[in-house]
Amino acid sequence: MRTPHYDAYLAGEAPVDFVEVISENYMVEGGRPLYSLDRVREHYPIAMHGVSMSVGSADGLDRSYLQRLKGLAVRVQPLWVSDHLCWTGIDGFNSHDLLPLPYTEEALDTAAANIAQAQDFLERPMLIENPSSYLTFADDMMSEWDFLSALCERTGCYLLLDINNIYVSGTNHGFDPLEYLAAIPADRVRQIHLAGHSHGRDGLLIDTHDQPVPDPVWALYAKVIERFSNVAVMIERDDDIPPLEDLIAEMEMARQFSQASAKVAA
Amino acid sequence: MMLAELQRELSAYIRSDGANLLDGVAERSKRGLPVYHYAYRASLINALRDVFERTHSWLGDDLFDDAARVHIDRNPPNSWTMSDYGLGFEAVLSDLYPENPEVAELAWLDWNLRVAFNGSDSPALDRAKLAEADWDNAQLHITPTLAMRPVSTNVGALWGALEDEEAEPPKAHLLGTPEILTVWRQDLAPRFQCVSELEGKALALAITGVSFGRICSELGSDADDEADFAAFAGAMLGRWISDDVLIDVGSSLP
Repeated sequence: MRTPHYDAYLAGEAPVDFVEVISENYMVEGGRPLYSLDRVREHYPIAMHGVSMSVGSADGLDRSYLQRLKGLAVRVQPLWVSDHLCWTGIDGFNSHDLLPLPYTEEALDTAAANIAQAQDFLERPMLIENPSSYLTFADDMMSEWDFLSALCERTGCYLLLDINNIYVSGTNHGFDPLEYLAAIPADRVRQIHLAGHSHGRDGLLIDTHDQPVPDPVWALYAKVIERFSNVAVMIERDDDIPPLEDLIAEMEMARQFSQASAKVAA
Repeated sequence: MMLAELQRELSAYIRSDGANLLDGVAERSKRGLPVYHYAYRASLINALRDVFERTHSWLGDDLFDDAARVHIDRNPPNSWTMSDYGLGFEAVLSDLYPENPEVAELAWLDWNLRVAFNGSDSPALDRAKLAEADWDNAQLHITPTLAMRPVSTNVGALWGALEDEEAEPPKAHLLGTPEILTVWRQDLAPRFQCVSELEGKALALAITGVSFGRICSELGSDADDEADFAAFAGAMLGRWISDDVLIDVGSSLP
């Protein structure tokens, strides 16, 4: 849910099955954000999607963040709470970016412990989203899909698969997105994001989320959606927000690809 | 490399000038490091442009972004929420523009309007209490979103004029008499108003729990004309009521 589309959601007129919000935008004391969220909640189920938990941080989770997040979850009673497989900072520094983890046993232990702590505190399982990335590390010992699968096994968490992020990272790092998607435990996937990207320097794709879903991402989605039946699908746009009608048109395209039982939102 | 060490090194790289690459990054993907280096500053500058919208309009892209980069270098973000990141930007602007106090004053106004936008909710004033209040002893409960500071320039007029991006804003000038700039939220809408120093003192006393009767006696003792001061105090209280600055009247603070 983005600000230019608030009126449609407040009136309950947007033809979607659920609404996803950035959790941190509503982890505030009061005022219009929470007022609007409460009104939207009267019309739609809400999924809470966070960007600041930093589940991969070596110095653990921020307790005050968790308390705020839980307070919002109690208020909203969301479909689920999700965040990203990433870290945002260490030693008090916060980059406000979704920084990549090395895929090592130590990082797996760290992320698993942090996710377990968050789930215990929130009293609900989380969904973890695969990030797009522009780096890999010399110490990497496993693939991202193996890392995510192990996290699900260790913590009982679920997955939010961003198909665009898989395509972007696959292009940047030279892996096959279909191999990635085939290895993901299908029964752990609760939600899918569809988005666009931009072309950066040196042949890198950049996860700008400011473009319509491009053909290669649609093609990937069309090939794998049957594997992930009964998942919620969302068109994600973070910048250059178009009219709601444009997103609804993309959502209709997703509906055409997906099974009739899939839930779709924008 | 241990995870904490790698995260410290990547954090340091992001904050640095980007000249020294990281050892722990796979050789074939070092081309990706500048993406994170760039994104860190770009997202913070965008966040500052969003919160300090009118300050940005006043300075223009280049000067605003230069100031934002100084803020980023001096004050790396340390909160889980980007919403906190504007804290301290006013001080940076004050340092950078000592001869142009309107810049920091605009930034203070932009920042506090955003703080009020997300600030604590408070119950609406029960107007039935007004008729029953013992005004000599009544404590005035002021909205928790109220912020105020002295200003020396026509910052209020500048901020209002900058709403229209096409129009030429008025020139900044020093005020003949210093004023107090107040910001608060009325229902869901942040508001601001410049008030006299006398009204600013009254608000400051009310916030600390001084009764309305004592506020009047303290501030009225210097007044030349008792009737004029009574009229001023009555009008001031009327504005606080109509503007939802006053949220309760009682014998104790909430």
